[in-house]
Amino acid sequence: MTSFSFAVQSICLVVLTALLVYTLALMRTGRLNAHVTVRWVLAEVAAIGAVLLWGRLPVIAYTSTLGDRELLVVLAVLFFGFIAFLMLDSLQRISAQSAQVRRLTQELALLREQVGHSGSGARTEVAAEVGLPPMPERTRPGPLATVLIAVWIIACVATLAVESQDGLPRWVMALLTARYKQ
Amino acid sequence: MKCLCIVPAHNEAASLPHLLEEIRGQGCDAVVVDDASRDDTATVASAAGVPVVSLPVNLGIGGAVQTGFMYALRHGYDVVVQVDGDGQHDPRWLPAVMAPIAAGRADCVIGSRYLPDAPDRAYHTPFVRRVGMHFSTTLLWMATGLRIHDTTSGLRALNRGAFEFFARHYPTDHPEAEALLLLHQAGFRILEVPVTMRSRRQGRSLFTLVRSTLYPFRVAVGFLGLIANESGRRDR
Repeated sequence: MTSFSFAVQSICLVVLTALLVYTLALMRTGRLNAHVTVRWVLAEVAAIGAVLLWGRLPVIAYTSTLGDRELLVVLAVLFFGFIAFLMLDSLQRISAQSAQVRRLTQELALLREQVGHSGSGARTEVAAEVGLPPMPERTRPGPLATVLIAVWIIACVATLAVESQDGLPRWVMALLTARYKQ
Repeated sequence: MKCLCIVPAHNEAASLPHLLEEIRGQGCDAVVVDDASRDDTATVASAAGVPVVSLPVNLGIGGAVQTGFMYALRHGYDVVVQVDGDGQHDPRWLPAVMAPIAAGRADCVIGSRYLPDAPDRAYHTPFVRRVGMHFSTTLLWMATGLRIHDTTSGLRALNRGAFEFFARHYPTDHPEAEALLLLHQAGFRILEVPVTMRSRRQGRSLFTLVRSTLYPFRVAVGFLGLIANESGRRDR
């Protein structure tokens, strides 16, 4: 392996270990459910194992014979796949629990109507009964977030357009395209 | 025939008193499903002598309407009509949307603004919303062969079989178009009747520019899920 890939391996190990410690801390303080945590911990341990066995894994071993840029691209793709898998797994759980929460909310509202508790302020009453702060309304991105997203998209498109016409100063081009352009 | 008007309402305290009075004038029972409003929606509806089902958290229009179906099922109603709490749906059209169900000609009747024979020319639909609606109409037609001209209309009447089905399965967010596909897949008959609608009297529409823009994508994904789900069931 090149020294560059060794440096990448070290950074990966540090980041993954920090992530594992943070995950365990979240579980210990009760902010992450143990059932959910076990999947994340398994995934993180698998990732650490993969990084440790770097040179023996077929894809990574192959990339070690390639240049630095290819190694980074393969790592980025693997990282994206890993994160996407974990996110989908979490989203699946969130979806299932949203359906459960919806059904429970409906049943609670119908029961309260039956016993004559359907006046105003149901949202704060229920929150007080179960010892929670008042439940917020569903949030949506504010106007500032929308403007920032729009500015970001316009900036990306404009940069792409200027770059394609070689309109950028040489030093900006060097910064954007990194070493492989040399 | 025991009829119930389901009125989903989110911050509609200003529109409700007049609307509930009009519904009562048509000889129908009503239930207001208060979708975690921050204003006096529940108090106003209670003061009008109407049962109120208050959701402790905001579930959106789909969750609120489904709660109404569950209520109707538990109280033994034969027909339900969904009437939006913003006052856009004129209760004078209730007999027209219920008639095909009473005659046994349909299981679900949609009060439509865009029927070619009798379009509601006075009603102004924003451009982005119109595009989204044409998109969902075309998608529904391609998926089922069903020609529905007003897929986003919330003024709908359902017989007991149909709302019993919806009490178990009902889409979330903007459920109107998906609900039609679900009904069609389950073998229910859908019919449109011409109606006119009023402009919103108070408050703001939930259909913002962003939501209207995202609506076609949301519908396309929802349709895809339902169609895939149905073919999966058929394979099994």
